[in-house]
Amino acid sequence: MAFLRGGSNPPEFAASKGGRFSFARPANLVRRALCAMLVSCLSLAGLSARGQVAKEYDLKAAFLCKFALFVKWPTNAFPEAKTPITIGVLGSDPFGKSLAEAVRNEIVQERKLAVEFYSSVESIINLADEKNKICHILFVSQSESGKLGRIFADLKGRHVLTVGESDRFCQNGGIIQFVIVENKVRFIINHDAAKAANIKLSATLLELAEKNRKR
Amino acid sequence: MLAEETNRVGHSSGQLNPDDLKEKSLKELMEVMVTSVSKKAEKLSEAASAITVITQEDIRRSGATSLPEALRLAPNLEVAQVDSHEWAISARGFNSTTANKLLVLIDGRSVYTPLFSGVFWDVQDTVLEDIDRIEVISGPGATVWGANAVNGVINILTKSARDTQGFLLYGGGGTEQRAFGGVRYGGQLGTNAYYRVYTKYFDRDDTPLPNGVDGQDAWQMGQGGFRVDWYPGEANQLTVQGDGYGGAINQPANGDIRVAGGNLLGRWSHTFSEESDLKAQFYYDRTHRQVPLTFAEDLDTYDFDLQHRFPLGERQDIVWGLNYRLSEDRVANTPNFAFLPAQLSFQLFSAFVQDEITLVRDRLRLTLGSKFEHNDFSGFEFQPSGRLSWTVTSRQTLWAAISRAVRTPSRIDQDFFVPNNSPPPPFALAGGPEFVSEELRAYELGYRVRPIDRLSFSLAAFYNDYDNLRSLEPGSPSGPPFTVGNGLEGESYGAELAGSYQMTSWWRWQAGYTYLQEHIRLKPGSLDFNQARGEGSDPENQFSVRSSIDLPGDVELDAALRYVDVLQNIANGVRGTVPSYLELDVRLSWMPVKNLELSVVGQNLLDRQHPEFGFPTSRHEIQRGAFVKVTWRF
Repeated sequence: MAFLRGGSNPPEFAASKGGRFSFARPANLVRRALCAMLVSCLSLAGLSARGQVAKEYDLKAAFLCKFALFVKWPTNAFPEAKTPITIGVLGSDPFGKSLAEAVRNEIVQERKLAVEFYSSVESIINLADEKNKICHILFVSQSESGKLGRIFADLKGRHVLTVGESDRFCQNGGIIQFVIVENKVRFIINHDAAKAANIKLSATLLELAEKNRKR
Repeated sequence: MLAEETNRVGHSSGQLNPDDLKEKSLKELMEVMVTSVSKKAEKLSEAASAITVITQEDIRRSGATSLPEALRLAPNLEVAQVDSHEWAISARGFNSTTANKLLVLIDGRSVYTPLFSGVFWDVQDTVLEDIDRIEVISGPGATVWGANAVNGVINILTKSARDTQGFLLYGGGGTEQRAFGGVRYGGQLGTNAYYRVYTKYFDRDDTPLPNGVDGQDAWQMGQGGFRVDWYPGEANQLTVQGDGYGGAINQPANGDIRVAGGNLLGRWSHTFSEESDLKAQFYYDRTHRQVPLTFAEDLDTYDFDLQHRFPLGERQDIVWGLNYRLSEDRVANTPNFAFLPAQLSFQLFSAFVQDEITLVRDRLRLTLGSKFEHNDFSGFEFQPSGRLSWTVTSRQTLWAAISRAVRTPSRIDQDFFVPNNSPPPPFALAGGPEFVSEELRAYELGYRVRPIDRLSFSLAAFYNDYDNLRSLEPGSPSGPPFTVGNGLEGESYGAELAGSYQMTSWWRWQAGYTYLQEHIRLKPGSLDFNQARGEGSDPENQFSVRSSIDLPGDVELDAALRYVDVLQNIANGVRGTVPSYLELDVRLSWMPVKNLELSVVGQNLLDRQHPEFGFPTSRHEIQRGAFVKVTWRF
């Protein structure tokens, strides 16, 4: 009934004889196919290995805490002896409770871990400049992916380890970018950006990062 | 009890909780696998069914310039380009340009027309870069989605405005895609509200007739729209979005076909907990189509939808919903044919309830439910289904389903008249006043497996039993020569196989194969004019292979090969075929600097021109084409 969309020919009706077809019922074939499928399932069942699994953002929250072990910030990033290592989230929060649970009772480099949520880069800068509350590790949410350039420009000279998961996060000037490889969380590192932020990354961390991956 | 113990620590499938993760070293964390995030993120449509998800990355790397082209990425669909603007798209058979057994939604808005229960694909569009994913379900989805989700459901979902911030500019041109371009800008309104606006335009080339003569069907269309997502508080999301479009499609005679339309949608969702949420949605949709000297139609649709999900006890998850739809259809009739009455207003009331019961925790789930609806054409309908899914191991799922679905009558089945040129009687075809719903009873079995991390397969097999399919019945000597009837019945069966293989970190393969057998026959007493061949034109075998390679220097190379078997068709009682074909699309892209992507795409490279659908004497053919595209984000 193509005429509804275009072409101006109305349907024509010419005389013709009605045809009739008969086919053997395919029930046997179907049954055989289903049996074959079942057999192959059972044999494949034996092959499967049992890996450990976790929810994506539970896992990413754990990564953010672990990164603190492998990073050396300049001394002025910690104004006081008790200044915690602050993990910030910029933009919409994908973690729910998992980030708060991940930092609870954790001590890294003899410092507690703290979590802070920011709605804008300005609030990161204001908290640092006015209240001495410095952000050390900043997770930049997907919601900010359109303004990465501006975010990194504003954070220049502030020694913030930026972590993200947007496509081309590192190419835009971010330091660590999560990537999912074969269902596992991996990361790539933009070492130049880390150097520019005056943050030292340990050789172990650099070694664990994905290499030669184009993003 | 053991079951409770394992559940406390995590799930019995070995899921680690945040405390477990603390104990691990960075190196150990890198070996933990990500599960599907949480119950909250699990979609209704991901229940035991044959689902394919087309991601944004898949679309980008395919070089698709339209939704139908992007749908070629789903191996469980039949996608055939008919001419410059028409497409025939279906699942599990019954394909035609007015294919009527597939339900298509864009951001929760149904885009099928009650004129013929199918989709005018030429006016379904959006900025492809803003699509989050396309879920393609083959098999009945009627229990949740309602009538018309007989053989499949296509669910096109765009990203939240929160995830499309900043500028996106794209443009390009070539031989078949003569020129196209678009701009999208996303910004923020206060702390928790985000918006985007877009506009796009394209100009597509004519398609030729089989003898190479220009078919004169070039077309141009422009579209614009917006989306606002507001997150007032953690648990709420309010979305308001709308689109408007207008276009002209050339014809060899009689002047251009004019299309125009627009829609406005509002959706509020509130999350009570991980297992419970409430969603209310309203939309208004308007379409206008004018085919000079043939017909013109204006359709207004008002739709209200409510959906609520909550747990009942430890083991049950209930989803229920209500829907009301009012359609106001106005057809301008011509001497060639008519929809009578020319103006018709009709309503649809529906409700569904579905219970997902955990029989064995993390292993065995049973989903039972039914849709109940009332429409003005066939009255009350019910569409129940039962689905069982068995998670054999964390890497394997086996599922089975039995469902009933109906294709309710549309205006073309009951209200369609063709005048008789020689008197009397007054009509050559006089509607189908007795036409009732087409019925399907479907039996499905499926299996998904990931034998190793890099490799995954899915297999779905089905057996469909149809009754009361549409036929064109000769009338009595004194009455009209033809009426639309329900004179056909039959079975179809087949299998859909899909696989994905990440061969190296930079080379990925995807492949699909579908097999289909359809045995449609006349019911006793039927004298169907089309000899039981008029309701679909489908390939017995279809396969596709796609390769995606990341080359050094920010270069991507993608290639997609597709094979479609012979199609049988019929026109005016004469049988014809579309020969089988093998076609190749290739895309090469380069990112010279960040945020800038240059690509060259070749489409249908293996033939100068080839037909994909339609009767030999009246069809158009699809030409080899190439275009360049620039995409810039900032």
